Amino acid sequence: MTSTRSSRDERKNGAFRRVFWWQMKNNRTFSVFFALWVIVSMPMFTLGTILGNQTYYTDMSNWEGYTAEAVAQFYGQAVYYSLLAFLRIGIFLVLMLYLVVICCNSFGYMHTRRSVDLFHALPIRRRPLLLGGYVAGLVTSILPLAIGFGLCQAVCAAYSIQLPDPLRSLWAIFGCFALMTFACLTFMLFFMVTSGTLLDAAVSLTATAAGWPLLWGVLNATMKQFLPGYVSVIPSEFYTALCPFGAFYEAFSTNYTIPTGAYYTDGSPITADLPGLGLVSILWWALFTVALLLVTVWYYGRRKSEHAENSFCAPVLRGAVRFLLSVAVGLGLADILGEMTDSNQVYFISVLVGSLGAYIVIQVVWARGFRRFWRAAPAYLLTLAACVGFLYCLYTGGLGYVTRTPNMDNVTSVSFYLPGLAGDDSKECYLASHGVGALDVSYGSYSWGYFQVEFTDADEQNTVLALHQEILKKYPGPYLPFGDGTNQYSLTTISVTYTLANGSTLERAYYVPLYEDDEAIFSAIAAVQKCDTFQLYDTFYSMTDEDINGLYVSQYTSEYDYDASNYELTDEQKEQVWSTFLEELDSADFSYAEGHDDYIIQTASEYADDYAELQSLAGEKTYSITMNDLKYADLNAEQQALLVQLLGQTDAATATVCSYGFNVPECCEKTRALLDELTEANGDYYYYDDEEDYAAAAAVESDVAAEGETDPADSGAADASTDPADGSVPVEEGDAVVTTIDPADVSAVG
Amino acid sequence: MIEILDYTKRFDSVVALNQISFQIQEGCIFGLVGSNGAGKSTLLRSLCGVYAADGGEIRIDGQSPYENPRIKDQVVFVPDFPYYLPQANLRTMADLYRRVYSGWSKDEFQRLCSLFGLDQKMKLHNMSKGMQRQAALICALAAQPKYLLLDEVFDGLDPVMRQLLKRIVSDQVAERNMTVVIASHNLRELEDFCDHVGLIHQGGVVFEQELDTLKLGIHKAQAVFQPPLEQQQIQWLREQLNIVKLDTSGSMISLVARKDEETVEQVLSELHPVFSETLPLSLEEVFISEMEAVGYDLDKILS
Repeated sequence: MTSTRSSRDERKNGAFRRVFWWQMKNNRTFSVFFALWVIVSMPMFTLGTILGNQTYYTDMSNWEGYTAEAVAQFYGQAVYYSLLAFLRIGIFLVLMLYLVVICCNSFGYMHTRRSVDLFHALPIRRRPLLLGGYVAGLVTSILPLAIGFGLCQAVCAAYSIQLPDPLRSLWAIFGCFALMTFACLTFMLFFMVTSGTLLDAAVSLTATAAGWPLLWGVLNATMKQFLPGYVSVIPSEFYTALCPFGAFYEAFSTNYTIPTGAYYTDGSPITADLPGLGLVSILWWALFTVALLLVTVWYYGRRKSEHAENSFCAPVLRGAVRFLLSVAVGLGLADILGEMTDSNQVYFISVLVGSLGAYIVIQVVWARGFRRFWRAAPAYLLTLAACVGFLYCLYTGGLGYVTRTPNMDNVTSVSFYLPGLAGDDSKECYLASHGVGALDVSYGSYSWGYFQVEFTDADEQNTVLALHQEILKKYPGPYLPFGDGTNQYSLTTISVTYTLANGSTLERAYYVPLYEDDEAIFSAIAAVQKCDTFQLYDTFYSMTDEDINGLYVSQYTSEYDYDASNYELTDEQKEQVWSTFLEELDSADFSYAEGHDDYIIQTASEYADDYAELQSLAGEKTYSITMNDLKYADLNAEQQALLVQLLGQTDAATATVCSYGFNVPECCEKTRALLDELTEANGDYYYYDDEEDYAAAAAVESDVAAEGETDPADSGAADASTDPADGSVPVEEGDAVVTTIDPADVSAVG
Repeated sequence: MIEILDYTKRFDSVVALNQISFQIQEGCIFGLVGSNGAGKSTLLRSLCGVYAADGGEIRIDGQSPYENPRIKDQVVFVPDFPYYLPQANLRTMADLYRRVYSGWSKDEFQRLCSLFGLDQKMKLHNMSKGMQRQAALICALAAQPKYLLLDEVFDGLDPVMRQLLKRIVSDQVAERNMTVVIASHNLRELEDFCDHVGLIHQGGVVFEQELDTLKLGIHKAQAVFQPPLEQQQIQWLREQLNIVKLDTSGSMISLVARKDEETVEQVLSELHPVFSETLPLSLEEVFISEMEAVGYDLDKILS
């Protein structure tokens, strides 16, 4: 009998190709809509942004003081960031939706017996059957994106738009899109293959993608609650390590600053922030996705057809998801209720109730009822045992985590961080809470930063270690999360980081409840404050003659800060005030209590910029520039770039040593009496905060000068000037003092 | 040839097929009958490579069909509830079959569409159950398989379509030596269509025989005895006739015996009946008798 059959099925990859093209055809409706959306919307949006901003960025009258090159860079960045915003919403979300549709359409057959009868009876091996659909989904996802990005690039080129480093911007984002599309589709496919029903696939996928970051967040919070000094060493990438959707979206919010190659008129470089994945993330997602794909393909080859419509297939995975969510919910609920009640009993009961509740819910959803409920009970006991074991480990000090201090012979440097100290009325507390590492970064906003002091001298390192050991005495153990009446998040922060000879670090951050009788700790803090290195970073110890020359006095006549009157002093008076204040500060009788202080000695004029709170920097960033580096001198380009990088700000035009105020406590009777006398004599002054005031002041000053009624030299102001154009700020007080404070005194950079 | 050797298939703790063994020769039409849940559909899914074996093996032309595209290319399965792609019409399904079955014949597809009178552009989900089944048969037959597996294929087909189906399948068996395995509860349809039949019950094979041999080897008889038979005589009858079923009602006795007609008549005549009649069994009667013999409690079900 003559065979009627062709040999095409014998060809290498023949089955894969047939499935691939068939799936391409099968998905063509969705694919065409997605491709049209991407290919049309991306270049159209780019074109719209270019044209919409064209007038603004091509009219150089809007850009006085900027080079044409810089403006072109700004134009490119405006287009780029607008496109980025569109990608974040218009493309990312549509892409995710498309992947879900593709997954359901291409692989949904696995979850119904009737469709399995058809597909698994076809003369195609399971792996090409799976991979053909998978690759078709990848191609129809990524190809339109490549075309869309290419068209955007072409539109920008047509209008001579200088994107910030084209190879690392648009194509970097495309690379990010391609990699994360690969990851997301593989992740979805994995749960499709390992689930018996579409509902199970959706539940498992959602539970893993949400449960993983939740679990690590909760574990981190739990360790922080239990372990004094705990510093999270979990990198941010870890939280999204099993959540490609989160990592994908996060890639848009994590920026990497790069120089654009252009410069401002003062020669400082223009930088741009590019989103994307870090090298570790790229490697992780590439390797993880390949591994996951291999596991998925291997499992599909072994997956029984009868798993369709069977909720109980892949029980190991389902058990892992159930464990993950039970632990996360149990510890998370306990953390919330424990925080609310400050009770350890509530905490531990909540762990039990939360984990059991989550376990039951997941089991009921999974089994569509209470089938096999009791059979799953031992697994819950295992989950509970894991929780108990973990909490017991924390209770006993986290395997020595709490008490661990390094052998100082192996330590190369020690970083110390004391952003604020409160607890008693000592000079140490006063200076720590008023002078340490104050930094004002002008970014159209106001922020505080603190310097992390780095000790390299062995004696100084031992001084820090002694303080560390004193702190540890406050935590003898056992360790419980709540119930001591203190909130670890609102106490004095003391952070120590030891850099060891092998390059690793041992970091601890304490939220110390300090009281007046904690003399040993205050002595240890005072010892650290006396270290030369520490004082390099402190405003107080960095006071120089120029600072003292810039002194003026604020007096608060009511409890509201904004009712202050400012008083200018002569050079002689400034010297007198400062020396009197230092004398009283160093005396044994010095006593300071937080509260309203009516006199403040200001070290320099405050800026009248539109400051606003930017709390996120406090405690988050550390700097390695000493106060002396910053004070009274423009930062060089390298320092500025470092500061910009450390602060996470992209266009910090100025970084200024903060004009700092020293409250004059009531114990400083001599200083206060002197200030009373001087302010009575000098009267108050005010500063100008807008152009109208400058103009008015200039006019008044001009009139005064013309009448010869005032003479800056007579008033003792060394740098008197009346010209706002030179950047100086005129100050004036009533009928007695007219003076200016030069912005150079406050070290403007820009 | 299909060889089933100690084949076992389990679903969790349920044993659907338990070490069954039989053969299906090439070019035959094999009827697979059995009670509900006996394992007929499971066997068909195993034959077409959907299910993997949990024990024993299935060989088609000497090879296992599971994950074997070369064998599966020659096997087409039409399940009891055919699946169609969402929004598919007959052409869409034909396109899928065309891509994956090397024996696909477009001419045959067109011819069958004409014979069954189906609109190729009509959405399959809008078709009646019978039309959907016809569509599945068209695709299956147009793939020109060497082995055609049909599960409850007569359900939903009107008598004309049943006859048409039988004729087309018979023609292909004759022309291409195609082997057909058909599972059905419609024993009357199988009776004049199959040449072999196998009975499966509770995961095991009760018998597997050529239909003619089966029908010649089992007969029912009715006889009237005056006086009625003694217990010893009834016992003697059982021993002589390999009786599957025996009922007595006064002087009348009804029995089903696994013996040819001549033997049954001869044994009965030795007891001098007033009246006796021996008849062949229909397939349905054979099914019922054999099922009763293996403990299928019909009285309980029918009461």
